[in-house]
Amino acid sequence: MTDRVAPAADVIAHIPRGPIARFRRALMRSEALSGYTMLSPTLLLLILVMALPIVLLVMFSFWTQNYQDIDKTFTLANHLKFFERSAYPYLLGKSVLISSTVTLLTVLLAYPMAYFIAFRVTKHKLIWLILITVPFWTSYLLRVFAWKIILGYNGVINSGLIELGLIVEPLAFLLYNPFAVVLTLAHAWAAFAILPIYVSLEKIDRSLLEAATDLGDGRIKRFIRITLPLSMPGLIAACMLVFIPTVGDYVTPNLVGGTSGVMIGNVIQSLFGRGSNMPFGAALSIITMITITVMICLFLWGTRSFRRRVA
Amino acid sequence: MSFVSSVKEPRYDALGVYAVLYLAFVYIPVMFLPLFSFNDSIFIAFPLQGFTLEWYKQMANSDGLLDALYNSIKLGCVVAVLATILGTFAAKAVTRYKMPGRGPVITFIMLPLVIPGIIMGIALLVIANMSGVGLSLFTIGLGHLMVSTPFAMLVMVSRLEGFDKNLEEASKDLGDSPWSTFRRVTFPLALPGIIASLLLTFTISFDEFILAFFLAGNEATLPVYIWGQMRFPTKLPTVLALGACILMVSFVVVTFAEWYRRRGVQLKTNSGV
Amino acid sequence: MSDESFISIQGVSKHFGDVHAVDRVSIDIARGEFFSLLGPSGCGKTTLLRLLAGFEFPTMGEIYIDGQAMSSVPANHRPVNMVFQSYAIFPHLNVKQNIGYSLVQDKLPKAEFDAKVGEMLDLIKLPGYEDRASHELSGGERQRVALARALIRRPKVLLLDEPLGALDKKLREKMQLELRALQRSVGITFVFVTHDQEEALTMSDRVAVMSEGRYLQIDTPNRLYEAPQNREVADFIGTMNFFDAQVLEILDSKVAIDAGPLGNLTASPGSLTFSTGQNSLVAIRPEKITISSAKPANGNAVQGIIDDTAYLGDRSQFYVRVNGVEKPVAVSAQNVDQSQLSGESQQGQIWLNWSDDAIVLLNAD
Repeated sequence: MTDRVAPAADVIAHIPRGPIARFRRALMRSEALSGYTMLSPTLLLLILVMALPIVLLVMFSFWTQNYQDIDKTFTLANHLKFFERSAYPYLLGKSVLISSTVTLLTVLLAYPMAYFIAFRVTKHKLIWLILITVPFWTSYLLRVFAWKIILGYNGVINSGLIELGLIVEPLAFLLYNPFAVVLTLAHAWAAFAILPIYVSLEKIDRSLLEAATDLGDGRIKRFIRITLPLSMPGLIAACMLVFIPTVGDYVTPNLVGGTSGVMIGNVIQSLFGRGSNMPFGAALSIITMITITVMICLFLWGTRSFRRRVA
Repeated sequence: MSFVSSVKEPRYDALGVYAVLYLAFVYIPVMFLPLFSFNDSIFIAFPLQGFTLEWYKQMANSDGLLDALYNSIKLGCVVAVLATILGTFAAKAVTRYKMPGRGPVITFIMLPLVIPGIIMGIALLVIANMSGVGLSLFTIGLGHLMVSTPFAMLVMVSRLEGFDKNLEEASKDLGDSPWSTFRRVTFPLALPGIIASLLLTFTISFDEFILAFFLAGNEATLPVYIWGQMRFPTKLPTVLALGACILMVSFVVVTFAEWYRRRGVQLKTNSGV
Repeated sequence: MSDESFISIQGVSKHFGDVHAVDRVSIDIARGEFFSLLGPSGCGKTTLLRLLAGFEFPTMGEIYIDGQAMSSVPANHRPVNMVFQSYAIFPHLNVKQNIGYSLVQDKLPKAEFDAKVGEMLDLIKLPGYEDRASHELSGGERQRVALARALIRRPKVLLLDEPLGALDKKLREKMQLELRALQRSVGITFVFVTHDQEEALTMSDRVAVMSEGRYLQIDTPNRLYEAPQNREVADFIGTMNFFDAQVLEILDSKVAIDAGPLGNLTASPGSLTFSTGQNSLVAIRPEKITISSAKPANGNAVQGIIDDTAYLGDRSQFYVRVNGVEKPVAVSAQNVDQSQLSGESQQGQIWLNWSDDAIVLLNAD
């Protein structure tokens, strides 16, 4: 029986004491330290590429741009400019409204789908899950573009309906308005909303549902009293995941929004695009982010009291 | 967890019909791109005019396109590898180690997913401006790395949570050095997740538009190229051809990635991602 | 270092923040001993095991195995191997690769490798299982594969973390005997963690009963059962009847006590010390009390009424109400003779009888 696992006695006699050895022992002992060491590259990246730029953006919004030069004296002018003309607050409000509509629509449409996969599908769950997640990974730009050609005046829907003889004149209301924006965004974000809801529903302990049935609930009551409340975390996550990015969306309003479907993202982009007034663009972005945060807080506060009432 | 129902739930009813309609709603609009890319007409409208490969030929001959394609592939590969490495280490830290402040850290890492793309784009533009760093594929790459790493982490967390935490301890107990443990146990078990993460992060970078739009210098990525082409009505069918190709490739790659990583791991894994 | 302290745990503590999972524990385990750590969840037994394995490092104190200090030895270099509660069978390797896992570093020729694995498979009574995939194994088979994997390099110490918890009763009992036999034939020191006291008593040479990071008593199973040293151990091991009592007088080798409704008794103090007037506890095992309808001739006796009966097949457990005693007295009797207790006395008064030797005297805390 060879004893190859034990190190030689003289090695053990001297417990290494140098600083590196001490650090390594500390690493062995402290899980927290090891964990954070492993996380450090990611954290560093995100601090440099996400946190720092946003902080600088905030600073930038307090400066002024004179053609190519940036005047770094602190000024509130950019932020105040937001309130000067009613156009800006109106545009922000409209963007929030569009996003809220999109969120509501997307989540309402996604919920039954997520429910179907979580509760009704037993044999081929893998296939269903893949089918709903794959679109989510593919090009957002192309999906918006697809709607542009579908909704156009001479586009797919109109030409198809004319071919079928259902209409004579093309429908003008399909494209270049808020309706097109809402429809396109709802389609684009559909997969994004399903996943969190699905995860929440899947987690529900099935024996809870059986208990509810045993205690007298019919299917609908059981859904309202047990399933729905327990899926709230997923619902809330889905709402946030759809609402937050869509408020600032630029691509969709640009391609299918026309003049009436303009959102705040378009304005921000134009201020940066031509390089005409970047600090103001920054200020608009900050104000938009603050608005989003406030809306989210209100939303979370609202759902909290709803959950208390249901419980 | 399979749902053994003592309660009668109809398998295919209104809800089943809804599910099929929903899938149709998600897939059909996108199907028009390939459909009309073979259509022998410069107008994207019904009725269909006949089959042609003309647009594909034109696409293959476009100047800027091949350059943009090459840029996107190059960038995608680099981003995929880096994001997966970062995401894997982050996932390991988060699932296997007790750390104070774990929750807030995870939330912080997930933030890029929710910050509107345009705001991130301009913020990075501002910092590039101020620091004098010129815009190029490198700047786009940093942006892409930022948005893909959270996804890589999610995929790897999902993979790591499905496996017994004791396996790595068992390997150490049986004499493996940390490197041996990684090589013989951790890596083989994590491999499906790693492959999936590589494919998914590649796809994210390949398809990403808004950051690329803001941070591009002289070299365009494919989505930026497409955006430029969209202004020209005559170029539209070519764009369709290109779009169809991209969609097909993305679809195949992502389907493979999702299938590969989900098989074997119990669907019990609660992250669901 | 002697054979008695083959494993020497000296003043070991492990703190997780404010929680003292292990609190200044010193235990010596002899070479070749089957030693169990017994206690409820959270008592620190698994933490102590992991300290031995090297997955945790002590906050204070030192661990020696065969004379070596373990503080600078990481888990992969320690002469110990562990069988995990979840078995931790590598899912991507088959049985042969799992069992032979730690042999790979020895770079043996294929024939020798296969031979060693074959030997282990024979030992765990699963011959021919080499090429089975791990997901094809049943719970009992996985447990045995985990065992073989841990034993193949003949470690000095084998650590087992509740390895039988997931098995059904019959299989568990079979494995308990097999493990015991295996340990005896292989001669390796086993440190076994369990919360099941029957299991610990069946298999071990000595048991450490643990609670809240400390051990209450370390002794052979027999002595733990017959001579527990405090109320917690007495209560945890088997069933025990407790009666409040007061010490009247310290005699030569015995102690006289006033046991209230049970009358004045004499008991042996065991290894504990008592002083006059002190509050103490009389502890008597249920099987050491006999039950009869007629008043017994010798020993201590008291009357009572049967409150409830539990039929357990091989024996019956009676719960007897005695005047002045708060909880019913548990009495256990073998069902050798069905007519042991005549019908009408089940309703009426019966007599409980026990000898002086049956009494375990404990300090009241």
